Amino acid sequence: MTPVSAAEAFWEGVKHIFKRTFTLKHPYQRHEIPDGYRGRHLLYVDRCTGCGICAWICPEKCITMVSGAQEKTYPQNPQNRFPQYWYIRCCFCHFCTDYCPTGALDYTKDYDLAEYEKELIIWSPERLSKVPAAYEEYRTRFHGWTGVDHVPLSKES
Amino acid sequence: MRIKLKTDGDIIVEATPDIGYVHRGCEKIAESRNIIKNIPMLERPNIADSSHLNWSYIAPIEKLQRVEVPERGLHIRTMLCEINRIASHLYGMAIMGGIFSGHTTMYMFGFGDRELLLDLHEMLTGARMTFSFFVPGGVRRDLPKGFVEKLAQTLDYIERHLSAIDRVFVSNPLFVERARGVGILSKDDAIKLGVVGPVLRASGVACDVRRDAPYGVYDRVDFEVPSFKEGDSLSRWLVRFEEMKQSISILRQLMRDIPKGPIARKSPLIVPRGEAIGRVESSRGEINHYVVGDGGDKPFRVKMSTGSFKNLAALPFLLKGVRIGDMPIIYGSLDYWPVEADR
Amino acid sequence: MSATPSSPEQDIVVAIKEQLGSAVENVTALDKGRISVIARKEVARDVAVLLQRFGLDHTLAVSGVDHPWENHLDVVYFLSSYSHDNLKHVVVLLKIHLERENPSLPSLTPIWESANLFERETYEMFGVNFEGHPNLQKLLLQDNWDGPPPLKKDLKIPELA
Repeated sequence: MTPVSAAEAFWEGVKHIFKRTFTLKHPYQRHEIPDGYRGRHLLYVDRCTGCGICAWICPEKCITMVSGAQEKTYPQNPQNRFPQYWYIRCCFCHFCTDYCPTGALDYTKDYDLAEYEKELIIWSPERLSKVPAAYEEYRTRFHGWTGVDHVPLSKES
Repeated sequence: MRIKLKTDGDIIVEATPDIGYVHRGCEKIAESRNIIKNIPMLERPNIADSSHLNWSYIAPIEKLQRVEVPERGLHIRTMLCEINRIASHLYGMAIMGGIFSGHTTMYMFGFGDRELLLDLHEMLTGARMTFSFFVPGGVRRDLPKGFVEKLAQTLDYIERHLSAIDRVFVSNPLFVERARGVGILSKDDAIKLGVVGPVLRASGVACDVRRDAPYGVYDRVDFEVPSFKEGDSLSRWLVRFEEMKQSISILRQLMRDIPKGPIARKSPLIVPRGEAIGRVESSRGEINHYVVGDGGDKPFRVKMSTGSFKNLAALPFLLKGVRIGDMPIIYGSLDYWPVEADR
Repeated sequence: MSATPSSPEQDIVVAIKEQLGSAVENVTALDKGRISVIARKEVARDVAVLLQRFGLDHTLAVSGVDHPWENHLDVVYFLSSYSHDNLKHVVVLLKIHLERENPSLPSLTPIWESANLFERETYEMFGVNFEGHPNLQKLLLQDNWDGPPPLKKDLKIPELA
């Protein structure tokens, strides 16, 4: 190994002192996600007919059709059946979104789905139909010792 | 996966790999689910290189159903597979150079550059790894706007960074002296043991399914199959390095004229009676799927034969008679992925 | 026989029919580059030696297929070649029909060393006893597995609830 090639190799590492770092302070700065990202699902209740194809095609059997506790019934869904997702099992393949015959499911960019209680992981149809909030009002919870205040939640839960 | 070693002082006398710790019974479960539901399960044995497992499972089903994938679909499939190959080689080189020989810089280089490729995956398919993007008949989504430009920028950056890796690492005597002449696999032994992938090409046998039995759009692009004669760990590392450069050149050719048209054809949800084989070259070797159909919507038998399982035969052979200090380098140069071998 | 040049697949089919015609049950060229040979277990070794002399020097996989309704269990060898350029795209499927109760077969590991690990896996998954295999032990299942061979159709797994 010649001194010239050793100096080149050192420069490859040293030059990063003078460059901008690529560190994002999560959760205040987030990586920009492209459209069509496969996050949690969004249910359009005025399109869902309750056919159950999403529950049939799901590889992990995480969708169950339940009767929605809606105040109104929708004309296209006379039996009032809507999907309920159990996100512990979901592998986010979105076959349900692609195979839905009426286009009642959609992609969102929500990926922070962690909860403290196990029951909250099961998302009812009402919760699925809420459009996700923007990141400033995003749902995060931190312990008090990190010095971060509890970020106010949007109207979910 | 664990390796039981019998040593005489510092020299290994016998090595027995003990696998099966991540065996999940993919082949048995695949018989009880229909062909679409099998796709996410059968692509997860190798999460770093999942599009090849996906293609090799879909190809025999399409052959049995007599469905022809349109040109644009094949083009997109080939592009995604090549991007995945570069990402998987960066992973393999990072693990061998970084973790098994102790140079953390190589690990950071490999994984840092891989992030840009995962961003490309995300833009095209929506997921970073294990995309479940190929279905019988075509692909699920079309190329988004701005994808080809971002791909061109990423390829330029990766090419520049490969020359940086060359300066820091490949001409580094600390790595070269550890890997040169270690774990030599001769050409006859390689053919006899039936190894595949970069392990085979580093021993002098220039066989690659993309060249010998082309699938997708590989018969229309120009690329070389790198092979070395020495058969030691350094040549296995260098084969991956050269293959990345070839993948970049293939992608540049594919980006130039992408055909227009549909991305998928309709295909029925049955597996007709018969049997078919899929052969695909992934980054760790050749993957074969053997699908037997009986006319229903569930396959009667799915047999997966992956590159890591075939390369496992070389491990006890290569470890005989070497020092314990050479063992991580030999194991890392085979690029063994335990989940792919156990399924 | 015909004026057009014959492909290597047809050469293999013709040679097998000529030399072992009476013992081999069915030799067909499926579609481009695929040949299927169905042999009885007594002549399996002879067919294997003939195929190796043709230049097929490694196995891509060895698999078992259980047909309970037709009452036989198949062991399929997938063969291809690294050294002969005109055979690199060909895959030969060598199928051997066995009975479902205590199937056994002379091992082809002495001919193709690459079939070693695959035969071990077929032994534990289907219960096929390969006679003459150097190290016939469990590979993937746990050591204290005492149930039936998993991949046979007798073992039914429950659907995910």
